[in-house]
Parts: sequence; structure tokens; C-alpha cells
Amino acid sequence: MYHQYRSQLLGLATLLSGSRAVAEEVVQDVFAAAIPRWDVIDNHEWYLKRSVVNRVRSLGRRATRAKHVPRPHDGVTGEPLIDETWRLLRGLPARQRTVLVLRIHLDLPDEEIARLMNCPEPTVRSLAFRALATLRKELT
Amino acid sequence: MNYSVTSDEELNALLERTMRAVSESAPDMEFSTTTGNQRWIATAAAATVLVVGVGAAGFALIARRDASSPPAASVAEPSESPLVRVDDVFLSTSIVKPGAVALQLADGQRLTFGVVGQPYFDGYAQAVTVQIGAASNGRFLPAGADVVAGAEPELGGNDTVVFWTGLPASVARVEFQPAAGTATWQTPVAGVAAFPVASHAPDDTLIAYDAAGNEVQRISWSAAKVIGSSTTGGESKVSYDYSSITEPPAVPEVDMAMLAGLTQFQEDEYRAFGNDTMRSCLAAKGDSAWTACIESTDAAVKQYLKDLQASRTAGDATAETTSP
Repeated sequence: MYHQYRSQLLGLATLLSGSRAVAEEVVQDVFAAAIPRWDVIDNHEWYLKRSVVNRVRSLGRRATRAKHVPRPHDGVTGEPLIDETWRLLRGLPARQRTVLVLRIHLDLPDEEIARLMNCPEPTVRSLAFRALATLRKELT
Repeated sequence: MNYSVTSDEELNALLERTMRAVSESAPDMEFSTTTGNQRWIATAAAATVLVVGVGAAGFALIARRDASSPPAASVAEPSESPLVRVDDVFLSTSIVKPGAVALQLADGQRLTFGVVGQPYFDGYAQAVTVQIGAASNGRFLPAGADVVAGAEPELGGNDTVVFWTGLPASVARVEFQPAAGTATWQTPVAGVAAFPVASHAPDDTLIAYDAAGNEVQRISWSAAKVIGSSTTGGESKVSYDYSSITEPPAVPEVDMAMLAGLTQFQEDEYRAFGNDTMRSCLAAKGDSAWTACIESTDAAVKQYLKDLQASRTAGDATAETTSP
């Protein structure tokens, strides 16, 4: 089961944290916490994803967000447009990036995002608005 | 980069592609931040334990505190949270009535700017006023707890600032007691305390003390009320005082009919236009011209929407005549 979900969760954690190193730690922590309760968890995929979101969020609270400086090795896909968009995504404040990832990558409704992020639903919309405005400005 | 996004659908599609690509290629990625992140994770793990312990003790403290005892006698002493500097980047997507901008401190102070009030656009204000503590009953806390989102290095990675403005001169210390996390304290400057926090929750509480450690005032913004306390015979009594709650400054109502049919992209553009217009007006005429700028911006925005609708109508007509 670890291999079944690991890649997917690692991708999600990377998107949320902006860092593969953090993502690796997060996914390991999530599995370590979930395994003892595995039999009583109804929806494993959903549980694990949600745990990843919460784990990254709790780590992010204590993180110092460094200003992103573009580096040559930031390219991850070999496709310039995608790499550039990813660079911009990584440069967003963590909460803004989280909203976009949950909305677009996980296709969650704002209500559920608000619950996951422990904030009012209008805050989700506000964060998304700011994030999209920033990206649009950069990509236009 | 030789590429330009022209619609919100296009932007969403690009983001979706990017996220899928990054997600799928994640195992092979390599970033240069490994060392810092690993150190950070170790620190965070250790801190998490501390947060739980201090947070629990902090709330016990609230429940049992005798207002006559100094906060220094806390079982779990909160750490100091220095005043932060907040740039006006927070206003990049909203305009706030200058008169409601609470903070303009003397040179040499770290905190230079803060926001209390209601943004210009009602549609966007709905989002922000929830953040700053508007209650479901429609009351506001213009002189109370306020939250401004943003993220600057000065905030230590946090992207929210909790302000408490209009503090009485007698207040010597303010404690921020988050619903989950470490309690922190601060010496207010010019009647203002500002705490950088990672997130805020309805149960967060701010408590003001005088120099002798007596509780002067506390705020819990979920209730949207200022809670005053008095002490009789060593027992704290909580009373509710709505006297300091006033309505926020008026802003024009958004004509929702004029927004009908707009895409998210167009709506964002229109808001940006309005905010830019308002900001330019204030820059040219000064903060005292708030009302005049509201009127001129409102007129400009309405004209903008009329023009937009006219162009859409013309586009629809063209499409009808040219479609098979």
C-alpha cells in the first residue's frame, strides 16, 4: 500500500510545500501515523491526502518562507512554460498556493478547503483571488 | 517567456497541467533547499510538542487568571513577539479608507502601517471583513482585532497579522492566545499591538494588561464583541461592552446586475481597474479626498462595466450573424 499511494502523495506534498525534501518527510510521517489505524480508516486515499494537507500546513506554520530566487535547476519537467508556471506557483505565499492546489489539483470545493485550512470560506476565495491575480499578472 | 494567458480558463488549464506535471515528476526532482528544510523539519517537530504544551497551559491561564495577578506569574510564560513591519503590499488588492488606517508610528518604530476598516469594493470586502472579525450580526470591530493577510520576510514566514488597535494608554502588555499554538506577548506601541501568526481561528483571544498586570480588556473576534472585565474580591467578572463597536465606513454597493455574465477573469480585471483608479486618485489628491475619490472611482467603474457589457453585446451580435 505504501508504494500504491506514495508517488501520488509525494506529488501532492511537493505541490503544497514547494519542496521535495519536505514532501518526503511529510509522506513518511503520514504513513507512520496512518499504519496503526489502517484497519479503521474508511477511505484510505482520502485520509492520506487530507493528512498530507494537514501535515504540510502544520509544518508550514513554523517555516520561514525564503524569497524565491530563480535558479537554473528549478526546471523539473523540461517544458519551459510548465517550469516557469511552477516557479511562479512556488513563489506564492504558502496559503495561497495551498488553496490553488486543493482547488485545482484535488478539485475540492471551497467549503472543504476552508475546513481543511481552518479558515472561513470567504478567506479561501480571497486567497485564491490574490493568487490568481498574481499569476495572471506574471503570465500576461 | 513567449507566452501570454488571456483568460481565466486558460490560466486554470495551465495550472492544472503544471500541477499534474510537477506531481508526476516529483520523485525525480531535486531542490537546493534540502539542508534548510531538514533543519526546519527537525525544529518544527520539536516545536510542535512545545506548542501543544504551552497552548494548553495558556488556556488554563485564561480560565483561571485573577485579574489582580501579573501576567508574569503565568505557569507557561508566553514568548515575546516583537512588533512587525508591514508594508502596504497588503493593499495590493484592496483599498481601505485612509481614515481607518490605524497605524502611522513615529520613525524608528518597526511597525509602520496597518489596516483597520473596510476595503473599497463591497464584493471583496465580504471576504476581508470576515477576516477582520465581522460578526454574523453585522457588527464590526474597527478598533479591535484585525487580520491582514500577506507574507513578508518581516513576518517570519507567517502570512497573517493580528492587529489590536486603539488600545488605551494604560495598556502595557498584550497577550495573544491562539486557539492552537503558543501564546505570545507584546508591548504595544502607540496603542497598537501586531502579532504575526500562521493562521487565525475563532477562538483566538487577545488580552490587554496594564503595567501592574491587571487585565484591562480582552477581545475574542469570533464573538465580535469587546469583552471588558472587572474584578471584585479577587474574582474576575466578564461583561460585554458594545460601546466601542461602530459601523465601518460606507462604500458603494456593487451593482450585481452589472456583474452578471462576467467571467472570473473579467471580474478580476474590473476589480483591479477599480482599485487602481482609487489608488491613483488617493495618490494624486491625498487621503483627505477619500469621499471625492470614492465618487469618481465609482463613476469610472460603472462606465467600465457599461463599456464591457457593450463590447460583450456587440460580440454576441457578431457571433450570431456570423454563425452558420
